[in-house]
Amino acid sequence: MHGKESDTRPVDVKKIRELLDANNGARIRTWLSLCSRCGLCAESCFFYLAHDRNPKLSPAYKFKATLGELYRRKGRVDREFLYRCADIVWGECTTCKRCSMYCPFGIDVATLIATTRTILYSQGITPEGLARAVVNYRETGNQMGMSSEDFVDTCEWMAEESQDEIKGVTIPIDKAGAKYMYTVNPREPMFYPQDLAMAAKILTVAEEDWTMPSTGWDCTNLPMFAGDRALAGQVVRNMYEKAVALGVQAILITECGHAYRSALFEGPYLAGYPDGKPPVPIVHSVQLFYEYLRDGRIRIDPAKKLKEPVTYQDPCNVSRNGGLWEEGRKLVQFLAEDFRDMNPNREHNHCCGGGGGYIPMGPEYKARRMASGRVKAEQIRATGAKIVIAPCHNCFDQLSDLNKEYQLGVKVMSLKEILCEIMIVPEKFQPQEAEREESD
Amino acid sequence: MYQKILFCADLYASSDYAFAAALDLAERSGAELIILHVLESRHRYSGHVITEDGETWAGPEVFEKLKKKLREYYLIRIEREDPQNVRVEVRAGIPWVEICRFARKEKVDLIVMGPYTIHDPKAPLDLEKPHLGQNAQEVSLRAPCQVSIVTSPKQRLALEKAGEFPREKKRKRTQE
Repeated sequence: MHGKESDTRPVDVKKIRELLDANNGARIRTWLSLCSRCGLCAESCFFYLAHDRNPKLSPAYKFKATLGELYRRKGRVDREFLYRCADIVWGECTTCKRCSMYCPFGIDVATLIATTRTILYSQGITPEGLARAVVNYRETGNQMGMSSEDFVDTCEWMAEESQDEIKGVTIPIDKAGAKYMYTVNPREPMFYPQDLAMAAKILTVAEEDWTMPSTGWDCTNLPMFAGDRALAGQVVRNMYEKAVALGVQAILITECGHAYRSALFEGPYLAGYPDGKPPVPIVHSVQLFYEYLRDGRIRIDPAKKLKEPVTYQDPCNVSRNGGLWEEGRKLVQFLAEDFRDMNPNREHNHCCGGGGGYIPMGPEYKARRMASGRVKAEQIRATGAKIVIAPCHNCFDQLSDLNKEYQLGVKVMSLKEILCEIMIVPEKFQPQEAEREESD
Repeated sequence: MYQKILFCADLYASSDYAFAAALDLAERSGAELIILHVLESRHRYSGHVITEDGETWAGPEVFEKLKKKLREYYLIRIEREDPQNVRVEVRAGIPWVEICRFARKEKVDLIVMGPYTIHDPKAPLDLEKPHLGQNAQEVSLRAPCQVSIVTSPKQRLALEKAGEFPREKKRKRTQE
């Protein structure tokens, strides 16, 4: 890990003890003592499968060797040990929670790994990519360090561009009382502003009542993966409080997996909401787009339906942990003529290898990300699909990298991209010829 | 005529003619000339950028070093000893996105750029296959102002030789 060699800081054992004590409730004590080393978790882990069933990559080993050891030694460890832990909890686990489904005792390994990350973070240890993102969140409220002014201007820019294709497109900023407050991954305004335009087009054609907030618009939560629980709580609180202040009915999450995890079920605890529930309902794009198609608010041009074989990537935090695996499949049925599921699929689908903070951890981890992604690459290749739909930014980027690495010959696409290509634009939203010529 | 002219710099000879044109227009119009270089994000998911020293995280030191290099490379081409109305700016991200964003924010009147960026400076220039790069294409389609894409005479000659844009086709397009 970056900075390991030059790190001579003393270990703050007192702080580690504090965190160990704070987490030493019935749940974690039970999980740590209950594991019988049955090995069922090992076969469920893509790291283990991708590396010739190396026993050190079994989830049970990973939490025993890290948090288990920290408890056993009562926090009296050295820096070398902490860096070994860091290598495991960030380099060998994406906290995808697949192993918990296969554990006969339901041990939530992801929580144990996340607790270890928090302890390491307290000692100044975290991958550089996440550490840099944390600084950006702290300074600007979003992971890319984008100013509110730039964000709003990018929204205006994209709305203007979209009007050439869809009449009346706007991106309403801070509209009080709207049904949905749409929140995005900062990669969209930063690197793919067209994503904002695509969302605006779909929401316009569906005649949705929506708004984009000028603050609290970043639904991602990398501090949650970096181990900075306090900041992770603040990040999600910013979004919740903005939604409450605007009086919206629900928060709409872009095609991002971990944002859904953060907003829907981890965020309320991180933000200190005693009932563990977000203050307004959380809706993921997969759910909303499916409802649009089901209810006929968006209709697909039959002639444009995807003809090439298509497969669907279940993002761990949308499908397994978010419960939307059937909605995803029903949605794809509207879009594609030849759908081919991966095996295993739905809540059993393997993580792509880009989750849990792995993608933003940056190039330092890319070789490992590609090696462990072999399981996903093989899953995709076996479907014979030419298009992979990935309703999650991290999955999208990981699959794009795997596509090159393993020469899969597929096209990775988001739902928005496909919907904008093949949806029917009702006449009232089609720009007049004169307007088109004028804009030409 | 023009108040603000934005020149998109890539520090390669392929855009030197574009810089000469931008400078000429700025001097004749009494406009401010902004030299903007965008450090391209290597991965679309992190702040890592490509620099001449390899991949690194974008930060103040990287920006300052690049600004110094831009000043050395471009300001020496300005005949006036102490050019007053010239500004050097650096951003990180996707070049066409940042160029359009900057142009909107600064309300520039004209963007001047070369036809494409050389990603590998060690690779020989392939003048037989001149083309318009993605950034030039996107900027010309999406910019909020006029865009001038300036090629070198050599490239124009190569275009004619390659016959990729026959005069006839070009004329037809102009008539349309």
